[in-house]
Amino acid sequence: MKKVLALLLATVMVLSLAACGGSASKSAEAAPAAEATKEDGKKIPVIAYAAPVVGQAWWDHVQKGVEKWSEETGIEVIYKGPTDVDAAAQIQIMTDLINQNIDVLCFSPVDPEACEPILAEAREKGIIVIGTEASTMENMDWDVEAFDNDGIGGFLMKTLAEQMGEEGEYVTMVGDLTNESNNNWADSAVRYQESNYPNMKLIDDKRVASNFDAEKAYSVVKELKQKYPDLKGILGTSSFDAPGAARAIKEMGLTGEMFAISVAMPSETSNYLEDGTLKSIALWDPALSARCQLNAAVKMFNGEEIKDGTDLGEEGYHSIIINGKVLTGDAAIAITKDNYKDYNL
Amino acid sequence: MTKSTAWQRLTRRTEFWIFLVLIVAIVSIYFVSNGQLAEPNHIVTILRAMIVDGLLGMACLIVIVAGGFDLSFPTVAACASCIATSICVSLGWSSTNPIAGIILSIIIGAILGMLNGLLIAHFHLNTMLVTLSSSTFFLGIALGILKLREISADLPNGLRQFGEWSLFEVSSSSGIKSSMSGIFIIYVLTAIIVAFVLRQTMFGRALYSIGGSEIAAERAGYNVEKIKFILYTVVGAMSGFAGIIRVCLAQQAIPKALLNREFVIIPAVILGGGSFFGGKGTVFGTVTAIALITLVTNSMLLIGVDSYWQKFFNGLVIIIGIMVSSLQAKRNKG
Repeated sequence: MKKVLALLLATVMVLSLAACGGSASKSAEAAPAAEATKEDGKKIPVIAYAAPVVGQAWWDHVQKGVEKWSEETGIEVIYKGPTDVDAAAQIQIMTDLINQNIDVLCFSPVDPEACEPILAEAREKGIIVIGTEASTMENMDWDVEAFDNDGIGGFLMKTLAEQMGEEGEYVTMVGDLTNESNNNWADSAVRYQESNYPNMKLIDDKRVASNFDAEKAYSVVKELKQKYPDLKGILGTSSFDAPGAARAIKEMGLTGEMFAISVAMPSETSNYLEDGTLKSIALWDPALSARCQLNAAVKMFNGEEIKDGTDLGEEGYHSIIINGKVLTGDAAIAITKDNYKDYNL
Repeated sequence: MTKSTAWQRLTRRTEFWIFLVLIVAIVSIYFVSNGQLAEPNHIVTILRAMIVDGLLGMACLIVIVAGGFDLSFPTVAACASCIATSICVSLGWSSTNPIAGIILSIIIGAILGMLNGLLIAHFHLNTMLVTLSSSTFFLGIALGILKLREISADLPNGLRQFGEWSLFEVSSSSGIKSSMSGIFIIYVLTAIIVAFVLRQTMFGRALYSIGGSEIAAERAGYNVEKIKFILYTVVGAMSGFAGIIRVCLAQQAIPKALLNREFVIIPAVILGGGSFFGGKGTVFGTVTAIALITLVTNSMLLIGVDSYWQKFFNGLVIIIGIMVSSLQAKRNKG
């Protein structure tokens, strides 16, 4: 009986090993041959992209962008990611990739901390390592970011101000009063208003929290409008702010008179963009960030220097700002009724 | 003890005091907000805001009456409703009416509740430990195994329209419109049904009896194990119901939406006359306490409390309320 059990256990273990190794072995087929060269004698880098996950809208969009980049440049990119957002699986994929004679590893980490050792190893092998949404990391050449706090804060303010006719009362909304990035964005939005829109006024209750919950955002907006009848704009930050505020605005019958904006997903706001309650939401195009990672990698591979003002060749990244290892663009985009269908996010 | 008058009997009840606190809160908020509290707009918003907490409060109440302690009901509500919504989205159900989604959510909630019930009733495990771990487990299933995501723009139309069900529309003095959610009727009906079950049925009396003393309940002939199993199944079903109502109202299914809501609801039930030792609690008390907490939470901005201080005041109201309740309980004994 014991023997049978042991055999069974062993079988299960072997099977599960095989299952785990599934994604890894597949990538080995894609192992490139010797270094290829273009007709003009220039070397072509072997590039790999380690996504945090595949088969999910955001990263599918990135993958399409990367494939398009490949077509345009003629440089092949091995694009891989775990099917679940799983730090260990991503590191396994990275390990496989750097053992395949690649020249460049672009990535976006599931767990930045956990990626450090394997990326250090990659750099020891002379691989160019370029991340995105990895601004706190050490072991990489560069990190590409669509915007910094001031960039997105100013963008949110500018977009809201346009809708409000650059006048009237507004309030800032964050997911949580202790959330660092939300509050930084809101702070810089307020600074932007102070120096650019003198006819706009922040109400006495300067900042409210949506608790990352559209229902709470909804009731807060209704309560605020009760207290401040002249309230005209909601400058939201978290992706729950604009949808919740929009529902309140629509119900109060104030579409076109009261406005809201925040960073948000097109798929979660399409109904309000369609009916006009939201004029626009703010977002960045992750496919463009990925293309900039690739462009920066090629530049480095060709020995070009990357410095303040370097053009990474994509809209919003024509003149990047360097801060430590972070390359920041000015790439926030307004998603409107007319273009939300282009972003299947 | 001498024969007490009706007034003495009334003042001995926690529910009476919490109701008094509610009245005091309403009057003071009314004056501090310069009468804005009475704006029809705001009344409608507050009534709407208490629906989901109120429904969850009912589920929590019947556990506390029976001397149990459930920490998993908000997670059950969130998981059941998100699973139900996902199923509806992928099968195209609930596209015209919400029935399929609601029934699914209740069934899934009941199944999750059954698991609690099995562990608690059959294996005689501590209710707090079971529900504390099961809530993590349920959330793990929802996020890890089923990979539930937020659903908002593609929420089934039936659920969306149900959430938008408007009884009537009110306008404030400044001309802002607000619609009174029809779902409030469902809340009232649920409260009436739960009150009826607790007071008039064998099951309800059994819960009070078990909460008072399990051994005594056993001796009195109640099948404690069976009743507890049914209890946690019912709580799961009610949570599932509250969850899907929230999905409809918020027009969004978020797996983590109601996380930690138990830390508001449980104190509310205690505030409303429930006891950690079981055997006590009424629907009237719970409804009043939930109304009080919702009122205070949703009037902070109106009375000019800074966002950063809101949690402080929320907590303060709960502490004061519980002090009033327990002082009252002590006085009764003395």
